[in-house]
Amino acid sequence: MTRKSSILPIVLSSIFVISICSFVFSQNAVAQDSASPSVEPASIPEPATDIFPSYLQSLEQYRQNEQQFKIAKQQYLQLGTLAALEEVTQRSKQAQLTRNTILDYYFQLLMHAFSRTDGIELGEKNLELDRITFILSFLKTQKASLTIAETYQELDTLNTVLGGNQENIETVAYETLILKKMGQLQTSIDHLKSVSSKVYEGVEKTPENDRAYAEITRTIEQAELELNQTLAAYLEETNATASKSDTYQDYMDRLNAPYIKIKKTLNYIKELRS
Amino acid sequence: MKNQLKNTRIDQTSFQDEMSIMRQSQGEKVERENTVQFVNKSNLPRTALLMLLIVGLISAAVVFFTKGNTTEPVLPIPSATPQVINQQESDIEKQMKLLETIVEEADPSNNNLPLPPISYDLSISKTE
Repeated sequence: MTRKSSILPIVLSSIFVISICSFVFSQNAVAQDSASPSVEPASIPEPATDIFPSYLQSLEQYRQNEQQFKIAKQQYLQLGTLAALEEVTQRSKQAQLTRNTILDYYFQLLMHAFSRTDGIELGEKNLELDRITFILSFLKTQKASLTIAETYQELDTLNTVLGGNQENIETVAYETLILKKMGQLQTSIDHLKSVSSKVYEGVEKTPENDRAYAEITRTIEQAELELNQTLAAYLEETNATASKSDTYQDYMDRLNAPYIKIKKTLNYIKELRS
Repeated sequence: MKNQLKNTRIDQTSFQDEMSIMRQSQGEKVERENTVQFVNKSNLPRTALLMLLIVGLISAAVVFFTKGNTTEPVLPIPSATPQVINQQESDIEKQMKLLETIVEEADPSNNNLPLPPISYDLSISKTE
């Protein structure tokens, strides 16, 4: 009885000491973890995996439907019979529905990728997302009308409605792609700044390394300046006379200059690190 | 026998003496040990509690001085161990790979979402 009562406090105090020690060690481990540089998960916008296969499938289906429509239309123009008219009407409906589905998938993918792209001014981003939403809403209405359309007059009218919105559809798509690319370039610059400073912290502080880091910083600044100039020019441009496709290509050419500097800086960082 | 027992000084807390009493009561002759250690029963829990209190105070002091200002993050020790250095290298390596991917994605000639190749003219009555 006496031995038991003398062992119990020792056991209790041992448990107490062990628990305190483990607590102290765990706190130190947490502190070290929080102090170590964290690596953010990759935030590269990619097409939504669940929609993308459906989009590709729709594209394939559309090619077939469009080809069948063209053949049916050719036959109708040659024969001019009611049967040929009925055939081409059905083929037109199928092709238009598939075309609508493709556009719907495309703008959903674009919206998904754009919303996940950093480096874009929030107001501009929301404005562009609203434009995409408007297009998606239009396509939804168009799909509902196509589903109930039966006659060739109705289908022709709906075809004309979409044709009338072609410019708006393409403008929104190209605008989004331009802004998305600018956002990606800005994100690259932000990451270059962060990584280059971390690499510089880890290298020996020699005059040569100091000059290398100064050159890296200078090149990043130049790239950012060029990017901002292109963005400002884009936002100021309201009435583009050229087609949207040409405008898109023009901006991609302009963005090539800051991109070359970004690539150059990446190589500089690799060199500094080695 | 009874007188012998009466004259014997017995420590009630000693297990050995309790056994001796039993054996003596059964008629055995038991030689008494001269060195009998007396332990005060009432002091035992106090000693244990005192020990526990001291250990607790030392542990609390260790925790207090180890944690220091709890609001400030603990910075890594400059003379970091090789594991910590390797961890930092590994993190920079990951960041470099992520940076390379981001830069590749930002290439203006790289467009992973081109406009779909569709015709806007699917009119039936309109002749070319």
